[in-house]
Amino acid sequence: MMCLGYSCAVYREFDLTLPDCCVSVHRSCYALLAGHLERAEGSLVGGQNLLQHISVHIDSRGVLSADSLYRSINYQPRIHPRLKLRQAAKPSAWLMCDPTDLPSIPTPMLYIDVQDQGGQRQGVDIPRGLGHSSCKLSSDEANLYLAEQTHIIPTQLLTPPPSPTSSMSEGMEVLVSRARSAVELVPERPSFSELLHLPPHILLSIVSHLPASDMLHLSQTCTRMRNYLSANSAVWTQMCRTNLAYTPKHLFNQQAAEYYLGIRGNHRLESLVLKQRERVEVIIDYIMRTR
Amino acid sequence: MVVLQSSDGKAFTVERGVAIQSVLIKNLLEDIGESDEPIPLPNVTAKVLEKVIEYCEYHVDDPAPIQDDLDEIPKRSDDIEPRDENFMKVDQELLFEILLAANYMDIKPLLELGCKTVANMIRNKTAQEIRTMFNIVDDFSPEEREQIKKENEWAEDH
Repeated sequence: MMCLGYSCAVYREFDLTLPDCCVSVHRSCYALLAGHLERAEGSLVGGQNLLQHISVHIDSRGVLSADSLYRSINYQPRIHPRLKLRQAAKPSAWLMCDPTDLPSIPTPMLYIDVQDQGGQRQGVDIPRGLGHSSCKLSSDEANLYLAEQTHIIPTQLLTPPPSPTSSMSEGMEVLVSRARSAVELVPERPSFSELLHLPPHILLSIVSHLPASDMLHLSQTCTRMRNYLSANSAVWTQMCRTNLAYTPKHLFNQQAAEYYLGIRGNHRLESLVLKQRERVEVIIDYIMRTR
Repeated sequence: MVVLQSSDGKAFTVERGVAIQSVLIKNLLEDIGESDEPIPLPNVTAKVLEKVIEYCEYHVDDPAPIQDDLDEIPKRSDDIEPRDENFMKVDQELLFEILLAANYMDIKPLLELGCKTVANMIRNKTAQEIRTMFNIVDDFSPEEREQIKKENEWAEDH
């Protein structure tokens, strides 16, 4: 999943009315961009509210979904022809947004009018960065927006930072403008000074260095940690996958917890399992060679 | 030389070998080629970037880590070099910021070092000591506390 969050140029030329147009952007980056464009140009994309067009595509993680787009066999991005020509929308080209980091954005609430079908007015609070002060949402759109508000958006995503592997053919001008935009759009960093606010994969890495006794103490610090390290937590399956050389398949969470703690808490048992695995590999090698 | 620009606009000029310890920057440089333009790092402040560069400069000649997809050796956190241990003796806020920067810039050895350091801070501490150290609020209900007490008694008996 790529994010075009810092790429203002894309938005300036992006035509959302075309059905084939599709980008991926984090909600937070979108908000930053929308605010930025609103300040710079007074209105968004031909005077229309960008949110009205794209809110239906924002999933519960706050990301505009374009998975299928990038998963297509030919890897042909369905983007605006002009963007194709500029070669500016290659997913790998936009890399200065960390998808593990959804920065908190100050969103002062703005009271706007909503016109429902019966002609009666009702108020909906909409973050200033996301809406336009003069816009009027239809009842459906307001409901849609309110439904979006109820989505739980995790503060961190599990996706790793993007690695720009394919070649980037942008000129230096684009790079410089992107760099400037990125610096201009730096959000205020939320406080990450607490252990509980670390991204899940970092917390997993920390916990995986702990023996069972310390995990127990950590799990007894607060309800969040208790749930995180409970027997039914999915964290154990992740721990087995990332830390153990061999893990039986199709384990339930509780079984994975027992397996992990059983192995990790007992170095002798762990080395026995590894030895066993080596033997199995030798046998497999032998069978493969004699086949 | 490569110029890195922190989120607060400070530019750091570093050798290429130092910069490419970050996979993020390495890939970027491979894509754009040589350039004098600063590379913006919008998620990293100057204070943190300075520490990250200090780490990368010290470890510039380290051999590339062996990619072992199956971790044969149980993870340890007591094998930190004294120099790295001293490097990580910073206030907790900075420590977590270094962790996040290492994650963002994709510097695996630094991320691993940060995780080990935090794990060592947790080691051999009681729940209350961990709470105090990391400002964790005890939000258990009386029932949950009773349950935890029973669990601990059970653990001691076995």
